[in-house]
Amino acid sequence: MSFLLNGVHVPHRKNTADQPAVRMEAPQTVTLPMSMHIGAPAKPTVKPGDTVKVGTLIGEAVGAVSSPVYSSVSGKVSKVADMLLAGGNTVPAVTIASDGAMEPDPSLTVPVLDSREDLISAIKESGVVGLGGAGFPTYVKMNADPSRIEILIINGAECEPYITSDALTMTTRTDDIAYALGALEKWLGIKRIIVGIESNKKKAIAAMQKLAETDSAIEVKVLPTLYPQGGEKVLVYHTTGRVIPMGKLPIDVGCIVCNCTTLGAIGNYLKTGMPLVKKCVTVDGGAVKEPKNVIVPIGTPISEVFDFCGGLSTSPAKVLYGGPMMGITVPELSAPVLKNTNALIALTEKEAKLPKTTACIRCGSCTNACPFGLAPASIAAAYKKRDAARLSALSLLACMECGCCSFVCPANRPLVQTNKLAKAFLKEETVKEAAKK
Amino acid sequence: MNRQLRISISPHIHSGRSTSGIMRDVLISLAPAAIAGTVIFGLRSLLVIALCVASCVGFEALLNVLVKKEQTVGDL
Repeated sequence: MSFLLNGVHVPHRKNTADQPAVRMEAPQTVTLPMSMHIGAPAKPTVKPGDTVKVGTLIGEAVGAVSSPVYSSVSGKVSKVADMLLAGGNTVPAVTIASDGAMEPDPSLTVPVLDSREDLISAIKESGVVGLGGAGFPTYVKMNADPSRIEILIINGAECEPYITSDALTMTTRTDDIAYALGALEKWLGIKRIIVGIESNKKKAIAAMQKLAETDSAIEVKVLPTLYPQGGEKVLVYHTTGRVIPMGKLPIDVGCIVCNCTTLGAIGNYLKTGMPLVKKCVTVDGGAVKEPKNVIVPIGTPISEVFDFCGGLSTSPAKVLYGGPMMGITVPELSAPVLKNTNALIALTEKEAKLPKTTACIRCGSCTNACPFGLAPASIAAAYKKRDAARLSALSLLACMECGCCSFVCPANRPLVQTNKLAKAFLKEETVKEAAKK
Repeated sequence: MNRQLRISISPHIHSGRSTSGIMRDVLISLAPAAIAGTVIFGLRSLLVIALCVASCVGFEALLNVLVKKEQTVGDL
């Protein structure tokens, strides 16, 4: 690595660091949307009245990029109906009334691995998707041509404020991670593994270094604590020095990036046969009375998770899935915890208040902060004129929407938000141009 | 859908930097040059600075009033 990419120093607010995770008791009902991942929604395989146990399949994967959904409680299916998700899309969701027993499905078996295809199949069946938050079906990523995979990079950066669940995975579930790595090394022939961890996570670094001592393929790389260290292109560059060209993926430079909690979930499935039915979620924010890391059955209403953490001290202004830099606002407290939920942040009015937006003063802070050296102020100007050619020339599609630009803008201009709109506009224009030909 | 929770696009936090903060830093960085100018060229240079500042601030304030926009002279 020749130099450090730009970024921003965000407040750490790791209030729950060093706290062990606490298990929540079974909620009365869970609602599991058929889409908690990138790709086609799963298709419900149950109907109201059906009895399910923990780990029973309730939604089957559809198509090449999808993921199965499993019941996180034992009980009876009460409803299968369309649901509006926080991202704005509507998908079917299965609601299950829990009987409180949390009885595991007796038909679950530990997967038998005799080939690479068996492993990919097992990862698919586990229902595991990118648990860093993006939710990309992990089996699709792992199914890359093995001859192209040179390095597996484990994402232990956890660069967002508040969130500590990944650090907890690295310190308390090192054996699950090790189990997954063993299978990946064996069946995918991976010879080099680099764990990227931000310097502020001393215990996680120690735990992963201990793991690295047992396996010569594993190397721990301590990275500067600078947002967005966990962004995959940034991580690949800082751990290997390889630059992923615009529009390409890590595999195009011989790398696969996988979140540490995703690996832990895979390891747990390979060991026990229990698919992804629960998540360790960091619950924090000024409106939460007792911030903690909670192990929650997927589909639990967020309000119950907050209640488990002492309740909300004030009416929150905003509740986020994920961290405050890239998290999505949740429209209602009845919304469920999803597969890819790694944090629930309840911000008070004071915390959620942003300064007034004023005029651009051409200070260049946005370009200075952008890890990819983009010029958000210029992009905003080009978007205002709807100049598709200029937007393309400004490498708009390289934007990873990390939010560094909006974060540092002294005029609090909605830069990354404009980038998102500009990207949609550029995509439309590109489709129009292609249709003309 | 109940609207008690605000919906907005990330990021949801801000660095706290402001235009007036940046401009304050600019003024501080210009102070040594202003002092040096006064020492080298005399009090007339201070008068030039004062006249420039007054007319800039004055016209900015006036134009904001004329086009009925919010007063922006406070952001330095």
